[in-house]
Amino acid sequence: MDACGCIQDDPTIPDCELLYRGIHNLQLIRPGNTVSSAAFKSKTNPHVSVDLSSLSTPEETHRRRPSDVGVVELVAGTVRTITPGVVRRPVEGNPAHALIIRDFGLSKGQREKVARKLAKASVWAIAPKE
Amino acid sequence: MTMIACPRLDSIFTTLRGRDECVEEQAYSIDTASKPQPFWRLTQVQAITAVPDASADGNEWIEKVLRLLHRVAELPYNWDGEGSPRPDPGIVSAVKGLLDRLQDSRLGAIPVAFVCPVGGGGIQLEWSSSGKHLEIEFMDVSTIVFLKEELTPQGESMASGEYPLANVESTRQLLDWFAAV
Repeated sequence: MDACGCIQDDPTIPDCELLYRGIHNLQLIRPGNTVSSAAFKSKTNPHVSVDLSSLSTPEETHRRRPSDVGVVELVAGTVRTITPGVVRRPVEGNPAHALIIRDFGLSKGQREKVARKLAKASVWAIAPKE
Repeated sequence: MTMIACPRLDSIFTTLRGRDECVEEQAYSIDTASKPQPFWRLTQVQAITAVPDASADGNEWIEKVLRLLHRVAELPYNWDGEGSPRPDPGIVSAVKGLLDRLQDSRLGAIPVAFVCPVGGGGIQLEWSSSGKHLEIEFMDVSTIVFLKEELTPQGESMASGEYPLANVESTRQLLDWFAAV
């Protein structure tokens, strides 16, 4: 965080780092199995939870989720072209936990665009159980 | 909190809920392998796959969306592994209320919407076709945020905004935009 308490991009996370995110099977759009932007929104969390690939694997991220949740990966460098960046936020039991900075003073409509762009940048690592 | 009353859709919703409970009770005696199954016997993923692909004329899509809404409304606590509650009942009612009011509208051929849960108890309806994408998110029981995207010769065009849920005409216009060739 900076002096004003704002969350800031962590430059120690390289652009080539992969970010793993859990996606519920009701957040898939078929045909095509594309990811809904709903997977990158929340009514309660201002930022998007991910796991860092340098400290986790898709399988480990998957194991921390319910069985009908799959895992997508995003490239940190791509995420930085959409949002202000990524920050480490380890939690108990998951040192790989990080946040994509989503809430940075945008209007609700602009936040929709950010979520849509993040969804389109997602690539499946583990498809949700069908 | 303002709740929107829509007895007609509540009735359908209650019927669907009853069918699911019925299936659970009869699960051991039904031979599911040999015959086509009605929608309420499909698994969650099968139902999602089967329904939104179909195009629908007029308002046929609305009842199909209700079936999907029912699935989303029944998600358990922590469905996303991040501690999300099941969708807010007030928002579920708001979605049903909007669908009820749209049933009285004359709309073009609208594909069935996907109904997606949003972390923290929200719900989003989403339509995709070749070249167009539309989503409306129920932020709370009185506000909708939308995003529409279109592939044009100049590239992708994206627009977004918000409007009061009570303004059904705005939703109707978005659906007309999506249905237009």
